[in-house]
Amino acid sequence: MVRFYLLRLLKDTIGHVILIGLPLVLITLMVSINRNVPEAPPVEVAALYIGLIYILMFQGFGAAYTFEGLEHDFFSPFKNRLLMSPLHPMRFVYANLLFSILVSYAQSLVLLGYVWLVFGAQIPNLVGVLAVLLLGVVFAQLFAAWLIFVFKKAARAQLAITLYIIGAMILAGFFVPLPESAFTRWARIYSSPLTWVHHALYGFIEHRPEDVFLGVGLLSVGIVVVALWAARLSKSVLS
Amino acid sequence: MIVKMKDVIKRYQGNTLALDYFDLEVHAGEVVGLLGPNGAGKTTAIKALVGLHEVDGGIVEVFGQAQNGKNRDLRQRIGLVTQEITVYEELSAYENLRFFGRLYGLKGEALEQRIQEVGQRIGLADRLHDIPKKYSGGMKRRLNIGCALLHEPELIIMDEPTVGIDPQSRHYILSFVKDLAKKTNVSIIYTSHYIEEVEAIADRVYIVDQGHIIAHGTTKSLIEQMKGDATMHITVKQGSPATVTKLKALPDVKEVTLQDDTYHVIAHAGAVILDKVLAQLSQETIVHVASEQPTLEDVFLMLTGKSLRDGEVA
Ligand SMILES: Nc1ncnc2c1ncn2[C@@H]1O[C@H](COP(=O)(O)OP(=O)(O)O)[C@@H](O)[C@H]1O
Ligand SMILES: [Mg+2]
Repeated sequence: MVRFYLLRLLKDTIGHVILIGLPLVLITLMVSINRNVPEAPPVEVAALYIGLIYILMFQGFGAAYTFEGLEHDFFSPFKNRLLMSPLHPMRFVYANLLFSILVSYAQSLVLLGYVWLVFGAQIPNLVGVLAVLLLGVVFAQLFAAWLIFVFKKAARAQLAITLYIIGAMILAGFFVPLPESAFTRWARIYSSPLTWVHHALYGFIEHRPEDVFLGVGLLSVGIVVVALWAARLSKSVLS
Repeated sequence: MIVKMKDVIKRYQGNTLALDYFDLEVHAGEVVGLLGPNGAGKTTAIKALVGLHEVDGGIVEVFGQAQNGKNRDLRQRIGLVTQEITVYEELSAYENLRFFGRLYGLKGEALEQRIQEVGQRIGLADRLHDIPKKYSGGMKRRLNIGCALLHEPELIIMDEPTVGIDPQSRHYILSFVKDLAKKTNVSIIYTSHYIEEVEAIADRVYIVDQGHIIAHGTTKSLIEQMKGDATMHITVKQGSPATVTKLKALPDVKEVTLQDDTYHVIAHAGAVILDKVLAQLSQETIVHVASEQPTLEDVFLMLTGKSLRDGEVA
């Protein structure tokens, strides 16, 4: 099962191009644009900021691994084959989740490695940052499971997650900085799981433990809620 | 008894009565054909049998145990070839076979050996490392069958395994099933809406229509049961009305017509009169003789008033 599910994901070349190639290009592009902005921060600082934002964004798009895997396994006749096997069907859900998490996380690491190697970004508290990124991936993939159980079709789940990511990025002020106000100050921290991850990441990078607690706390609650909800929805799908 | 289904009722949401007092019995080593048009309830019956569907009434027993869908031990003894092609198209046939073997607990050397054996059996031994996406429809169908055989099930269920493939692959699958039945002691349930297939491979046939078994028995007994007609078509150089009269006088002949130098003779089914008919034509130059005995198709037509092919899809 390990081999089968891992191969399924690794052989998805288009997935790698979109989820690694595209953000690499975007990060490079944004960093070079940023260089020419007057009063721009040093390139290694800007590169880390930009890199992390794209990592978060593409962790979201990486959710496609889980919902496409689950669509193949449980929203197509393939389901009958799996349900006929002596294994408990939840095992296949876990396999999808686990390997999607691993592959998506590896992609995040590649992107982080890129901003470190190419732009010389320094990452204080690396272990903490890596741990928070892992939580981000876990949330994204669990959310993907929830989406496919609700929408039943990967294409619709894809649309939903795309809208979610774009909405969350705008609200957080990640695409373009929003004008300062009470609302945007709130939105920058609380508006979506993307900002929770971001808040915790910068808590580690800029040594603010209270931000780490807040971000990781919100994210942990989010993970538990979405996991329980998805598990509940899975019951009708797996029978 | 391997399978016993008695008075099984299955109602889908939306109130389709898919199984309406459905019965089926399979004994050890038998090939049982389940024949019926599209929508007759074949797949529903199979799903009820293997525990994928809960039923609304009746008895479903497999290997003497009541099927409740939860018994893992039963699943280990059943191989289901799904009606749809359910393999992972982006990974090689080898990886697919390996995966399904692993699911049933095979590993190591034994698994490797089984993969090769099954690959051989389904005629894909030299294409095992290609991805099914590159296969023809027939090859995909064969892999689809192979994936259900890894764990050497005692009961193999094939749900329309030849739908939408070329005649050659179909022939391969049919002789494969015959071979499997002969060489091993497995029991096989084979559903189809193609009469020739069921006639060719099944020891016994169940004919299903609208969720109910309307006839069952050996192919021969089913045809004998029906009081159908046999027809002969004899084309000669020059037909004559006098011969028509002579032919009509023969016992068991019901009707004779002459059309473009071809005599169409209709006789009682089972009557062996071709030689007598030909004897009457000894003075004429015979160009072509064709004779048709009633088929299961006729049985079905007689029982239901409709053709099996009506609902046929590609
Ligand atoms: N999941 C389902 N929900 C509702 N009706 C169904 C479902 N599956 C099959 N049916 C209906 O049940 C009847 C029997 O279908 P099926 O068992 O697939 O027939 P067959 O396999 O002989 O073609 C048909 O009328 C079909 O439309
Ligand atoms: Mg069917």
